[in-house]
Amino acid sequence: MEEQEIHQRLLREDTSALELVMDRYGSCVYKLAATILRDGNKGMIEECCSDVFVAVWEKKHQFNPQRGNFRTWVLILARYQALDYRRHLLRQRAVEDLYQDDSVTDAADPGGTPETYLMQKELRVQLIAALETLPVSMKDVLYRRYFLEESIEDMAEELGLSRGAVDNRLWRARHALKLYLHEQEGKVVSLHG
Amino acid sequence: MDKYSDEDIRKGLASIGVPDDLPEIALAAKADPSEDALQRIKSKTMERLATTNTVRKAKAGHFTRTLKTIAAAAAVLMVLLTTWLGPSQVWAGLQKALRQIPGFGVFEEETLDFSLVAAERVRVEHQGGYLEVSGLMSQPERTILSLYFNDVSGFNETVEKEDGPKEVLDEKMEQSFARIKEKIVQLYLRDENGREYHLDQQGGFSWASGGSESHVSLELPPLDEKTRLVTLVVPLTTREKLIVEIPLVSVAEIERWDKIANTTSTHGITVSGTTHLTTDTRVSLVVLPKGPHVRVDSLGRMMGKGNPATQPMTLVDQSGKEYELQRFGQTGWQPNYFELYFAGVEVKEQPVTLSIPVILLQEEGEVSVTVPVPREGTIELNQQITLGRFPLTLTRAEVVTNPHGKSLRVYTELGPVGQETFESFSLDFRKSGGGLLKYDENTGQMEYFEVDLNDQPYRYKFSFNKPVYSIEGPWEITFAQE
Repeated sequence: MEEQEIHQRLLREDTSALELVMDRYGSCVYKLAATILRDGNKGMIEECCSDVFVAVWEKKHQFNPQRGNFRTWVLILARYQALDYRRHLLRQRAVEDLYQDDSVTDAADPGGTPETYLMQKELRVQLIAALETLPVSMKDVLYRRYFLEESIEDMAEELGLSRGAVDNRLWRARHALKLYLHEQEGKVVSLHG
Repeated sequence: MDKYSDEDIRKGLASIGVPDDLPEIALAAKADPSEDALQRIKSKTMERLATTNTVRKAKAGHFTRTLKTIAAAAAVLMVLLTTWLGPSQVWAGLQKALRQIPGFGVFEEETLDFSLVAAERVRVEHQGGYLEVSGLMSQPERTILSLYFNDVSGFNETVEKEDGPKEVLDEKMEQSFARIKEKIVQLYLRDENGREYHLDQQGGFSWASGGSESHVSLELPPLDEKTRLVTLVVPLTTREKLIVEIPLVSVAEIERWDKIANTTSTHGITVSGTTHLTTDTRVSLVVLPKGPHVRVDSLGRMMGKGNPATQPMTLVDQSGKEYELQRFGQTGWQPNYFELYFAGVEVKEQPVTLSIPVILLQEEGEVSVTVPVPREGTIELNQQITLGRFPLTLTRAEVVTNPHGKSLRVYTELGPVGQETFESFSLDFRKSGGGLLKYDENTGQMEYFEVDLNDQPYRYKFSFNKPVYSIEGPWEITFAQE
C-alpha cells in the first residue's frame, strides 16, 4: 500500500492504518530512538516509540505530502520525541553541562534575527543537495553525529574505527559540504556576473 | 572557505530534521528490535488510542467541527426533545416509576407521552459494515429514530480537517453535509399496512460522524398506535436497499426500572443498572451524582493497560472470568445514562458483577488566566487560581520545540478537595489552533498542557473550564441471571 493511501486512511480515523504504520516503520523508529536514548532502558525506548505513534495519530492532519515523504515525517517525530526523552533523562541525572556538547542541540531553533533565519533556510536547501553528493561513508558519520546525536566514542566503536579516524572522517565530510556550498555560490555569482 | 563555519554546517544540518535516506545510511547496520518489543509497542499504542483521552479528544474535536456545520438542522430536533422531556422531567429519583427506553434512557413514566418504542436495538450487517437501530420512540406528534451506520456505503461521510483557511474547511463540510442529507431524506419507515412515513419538510435530523461510524437521529411522522412492527428502508443505490424490521412494544409493556435494576450508593453517588444478558450483552446504567449540573466524565479510569493510574470498569462472573467491554455508549439523549456492551457473556445461570472502581465527574466552572511566555528556558510561575470549586496551581512554563514549530508548555498542580481529587479540565485550543493535555501515568492527573505558538508573544491568555474530578468507589452491582 502506498504511503499516501495509508495517510488518507489515517485521516479517516482508521486505526488499522496506524497499525500498518507501526508494522512498516516500527523497526526504524525503534532504532532511531534507541540510538538517541542510548542511556535509557528498554522500557523508556518502547515508551518513546509508543509516544511517537500516538503523535502520528494525533498530528496526522499536519503531514503535508508536498513537503516530504511520510516515512521521513514519522522519523522527524521520532527524533524530536527521542530528544525530548533524552533531555528529561539528562535532567534526571543532573548532567546539565552535557547541553554544552554540540551533539545535543535544539535543532529547530534557528536563533538570531529573521535575516539569520532566512539565511539558514537557504543553507538548509543547499545542504540537502550537498548531502546527495557525498559518498555513503561520509554521509554515515554526518547522519550519526548530527541526526542521531551519537557520540564520537560510540561511533568509533560501532564503525570499528579509532576516535581520531572518526574525527577525521567528520572533518572531511563537513569540508566537502563547505566546498559544495562555495561552488554553488560561485555558480550564482557567475550567473549574475 | 571561511564563510561557513562548522557551527553553520552543524546548525544547517540540524535544521533539516531528518534526511530521507537516514534509515538506509545510518540505521541499516543497527540491531533490529525484537519482535516482542515491536509487539509491545504496538499493543501499548493501540490500547492508548482505544482508552485514553487521545481518542476521546480527537473524536470530540471531530464531532464538534462536524456538528457545527449541521447545527441548523440538528437544532430543530434537539429543541423539540428538550421541550418534550424538559430538564425537570428527566427523572427525579429512583423511587419514581421509571421505564427504560432502549437507546434513549430511563424516564419517569408520568412524563412519557409516547406509546410505542423499539423493544430492543436491531442490527443488520452489510458488506462488512452494519446498520444499527439503537432506538425508536413514537409520540403523538412525531417518531424519533436513532441509527448508527458503521462503514455503510454513502453513510460514512467524514469531513477531513485539512490545512487551509477556515472558509475552505467550512465549504467542504457544507458539501459533505449536503451529500449525507441527500441520503438521509430517502430513509423511510413502512408499517404492517404498507403505510410509509417519510421525513417531511419540517422534520429535523442530526448527523454526527467519527471515523467509519455515523450517528443519525431523525424525526418522522407519528406511527399508528396499533403498529407492532415497522420496516426501515434505507436506499443505498437505485437498486440496493437495506431493510431492517423493528419490533415495537407499548411503554406499558416495558418492566418498571425498579423491578429490573439493581442499585448501589457510595459517597453520595448512586449507580443503578440492569442487564440484557439473555438477549444481548448489554448493561444499562444510570448514574446519579450529587448536584444537578454534574455529568459523568468516565466510569473507571483508562490510561492504557499496565499503567498504574488505570482502573477499568470490570464485569466478572463467579468463576472469576472477566468479560471485555466492547463498546461504551453514551446515547446523548439523557445525561449520565450509559449502554455498555460486553463481549462473550455466556453466563445463563450464575451471577455477574459489574465493578466501577472510580468515577470521574465533570462540573461547570470557568476561569481565565494570563501566563508570561519565556524567551528561553523555563520560568517559575506558581500562579494559584480557582476553577469552580477546585484550587489549581500553574507551577512553571517553558517553550518547547516540536517538528512543526514551538509550543508553550505549562505545568499544573491539581489538589484534592475532601474525597474528590481534581484531575483535569478543558482548555480552549481554538486560539492556538492546536495543543495537547498530558496526564501523569501514575495518578491520572493532568501534568501539563501545551498550546502551539504561531509566534512568540510575551503573554498568553488561557481560558480553562469544566473541571473533572474523581471519587474513589467501588460501586459494585451483581446481576443475577433468571
